[in-house]
Amino acid sequence: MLYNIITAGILYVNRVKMIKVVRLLIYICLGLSTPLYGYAEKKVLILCSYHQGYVWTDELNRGILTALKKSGLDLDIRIEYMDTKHYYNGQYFSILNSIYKYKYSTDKFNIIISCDNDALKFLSLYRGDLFPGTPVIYCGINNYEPSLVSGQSNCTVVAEEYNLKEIFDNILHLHENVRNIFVVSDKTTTGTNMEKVLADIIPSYENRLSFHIENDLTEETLLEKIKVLPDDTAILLVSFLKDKNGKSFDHIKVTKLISDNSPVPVYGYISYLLGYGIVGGSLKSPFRHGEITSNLAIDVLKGKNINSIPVMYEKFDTNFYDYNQLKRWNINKNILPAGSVIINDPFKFYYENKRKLLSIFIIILIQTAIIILLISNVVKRKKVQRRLTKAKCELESKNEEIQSVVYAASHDLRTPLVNIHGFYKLNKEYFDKLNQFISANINLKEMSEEISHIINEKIPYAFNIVFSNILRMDTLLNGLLSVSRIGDIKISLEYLDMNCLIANILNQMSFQIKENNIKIDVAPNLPQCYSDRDMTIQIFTNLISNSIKYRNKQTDSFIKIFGYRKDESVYCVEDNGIGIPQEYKDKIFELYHRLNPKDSKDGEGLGLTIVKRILFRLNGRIWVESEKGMGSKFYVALPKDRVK
Amino acid sequence: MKLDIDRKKIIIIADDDDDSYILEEIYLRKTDIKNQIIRFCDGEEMIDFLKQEEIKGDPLWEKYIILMDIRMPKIDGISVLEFMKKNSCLQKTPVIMVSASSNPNFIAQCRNLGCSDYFVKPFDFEKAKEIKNNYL
Repeated sequence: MLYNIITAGILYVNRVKMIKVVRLLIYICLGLSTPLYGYAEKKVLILCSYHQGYVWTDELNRGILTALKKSGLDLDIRIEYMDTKHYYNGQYFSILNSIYKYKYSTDKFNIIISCDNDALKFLSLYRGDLFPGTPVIYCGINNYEPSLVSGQSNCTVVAEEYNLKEIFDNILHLHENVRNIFVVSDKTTTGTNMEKVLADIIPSYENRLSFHIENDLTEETLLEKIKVLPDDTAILLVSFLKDKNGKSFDHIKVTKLISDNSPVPVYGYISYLLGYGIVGGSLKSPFRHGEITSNLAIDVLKGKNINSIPVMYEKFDTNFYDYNQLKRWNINKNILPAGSVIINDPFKFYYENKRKLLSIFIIILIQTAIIILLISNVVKRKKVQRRLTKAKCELESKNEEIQSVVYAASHDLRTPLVNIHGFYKLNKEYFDKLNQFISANINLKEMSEEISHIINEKIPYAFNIVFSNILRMDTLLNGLLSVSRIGDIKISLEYLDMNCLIANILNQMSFQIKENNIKIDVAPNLPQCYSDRDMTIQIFTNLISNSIKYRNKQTDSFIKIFGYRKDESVYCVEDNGIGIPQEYKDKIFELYHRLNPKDSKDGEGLGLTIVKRILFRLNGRIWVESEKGMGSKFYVALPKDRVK
Repeated sequence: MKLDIDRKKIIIIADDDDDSYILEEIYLRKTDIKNQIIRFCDGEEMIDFLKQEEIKGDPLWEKYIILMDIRMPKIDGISVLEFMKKNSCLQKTPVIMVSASSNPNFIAQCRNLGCSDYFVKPFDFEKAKEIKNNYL
């Protein structure tokens, strides 16, 4: 068959699809091969007394199945629910017998796991007939007595023990004031059985606890009674699956209902109620019971003789508590028995992973510290870098300035010097000539006209020039000093009302302005700036005085001052003066540079140099828009705000 | 005689400093030269004048000898020199730089551009005689 498929496949496909087909064949082979190993499987029957949905049964089965799956054995597991909580009589048992006979006559089970007392009762009647020779493990057996399995071989028992004594001891330990136990029970098998057990225990608590058992109440009367329980009471919920009216209850839901309505703590004895209102303590765990049973079954499946396994009793060595209930009843965690497990504990994760958390916390702390360190480092570096850039800028400009000073010194400062030198030499020549005349002593009278010309005109003229050049030299040196001093003046920055400041300057210069008949127009809304008052006054004084100096004498002069605000506060001093040709726009800011030296003898060529230098110190800048004969617009930009 | 006067070179002095100009004029006159002396106060005036002469196409420009300062307003002497040496008509005109600066950089720059001489101020009788002997 497989061969035919492969052949047909190969004939059908072309080369391109070959790889896909090969892959497909591999999958088919793998798929077919799986059941080949299945022949070694073992058959297991789980026979439950009760029904699916009954929490005890479900938890027990979960325990059994979990352990079976963990075993790694290849198992075929069947589960039967006898449902004896709903149907329980001899006729029903014989019907079940016929059904199982019909179903399992051909099946040979390797082991049967029987759960709870009813299944044991059933199997003790029909086991020989239904499953002859099959080993059985009876689990969940209450009130175990050897007589229960008398006459049966090939079987063992996992018995349920009652933990009521542990629960009462626990209550007395946790609540000093409790003297009464209010027992909630019902008329079901569980309830009746538990009451029997209780009856045996009660005498041992004489003088310590008194018991009040209710087993025939409706839901309403139960809740009413619970609500008025005195403080020295604790509730023990044994069973409330059916009330007086025959109404059925879910074990978990009823626990929650009682706990929510109770003014006193509620105790139970089964683990799956934990988290639904019971405080906790030593609890029976059907899940654990199932696991224990399953482990025995696995031993048997692996070849252990079932008759060699003694009857087992479930142990209650771990206490379980609900954090919410502990909190509700103000129970200190420290007084709980050692090794107790607390569920719903929001700090559980912390307690369990204290060390890991601590190390993670420390690592995060260290990392944070490192990050902070790095960030602060980066910030520091950036700050230093910024300062460095500024320093570099300053240094470059200083360098440029030195260059310009050297240039100025070699030309402009030397000019008066060489003039003095030149005219000194000239005068020396005149004196030599006079000496010649005197020593020669000839024709003095004839020469007297020339002598008096030299003495009265030529020599004084040369001396005048020498003197004026000395004065000029002095002026130039003073100017140079004043420029260089700008770098040393202390700056005190403040917010300046520029309208007020400009008005003061114009007031100071009112004589010059009136004298030259200049129309002044200042915009009323000049933006404020963050600057040094005296330096700012100097800037605008120089600019306005330049505008006056370089006015066009042929027309009526005006000066307009306006401003606007962008990234910085910008001010413009506009005039209709002689203007600046394109090619000199940069030169006008140079040391000693004068636009028209012939026209204006009064300038030193320092005004704009000073302005530029001041603006450098104030973090401002200056630029000019102008054309020859068209007037000039000098723009000054100053910081509008404190620099961060 | 008339021809002779016409042939005399015109001395152009370009210097913004009055006193320097006066000194140059005094010493040049002391050498008994009768040549006409024209003065310009900055490089711009100078270049404007030269351009006009060029447009005229008059060969008179060959008759000029120029004494020029370096540091002048608007256009400096080195730029004027550069302009002249690039211009085929003005190339041959002798240019003598007369500057207050003895900066070797400037001297080398002017020499490279093709100035005929470089005098460091102050101007004196010796320099005036040299000009008279070499260029007039």
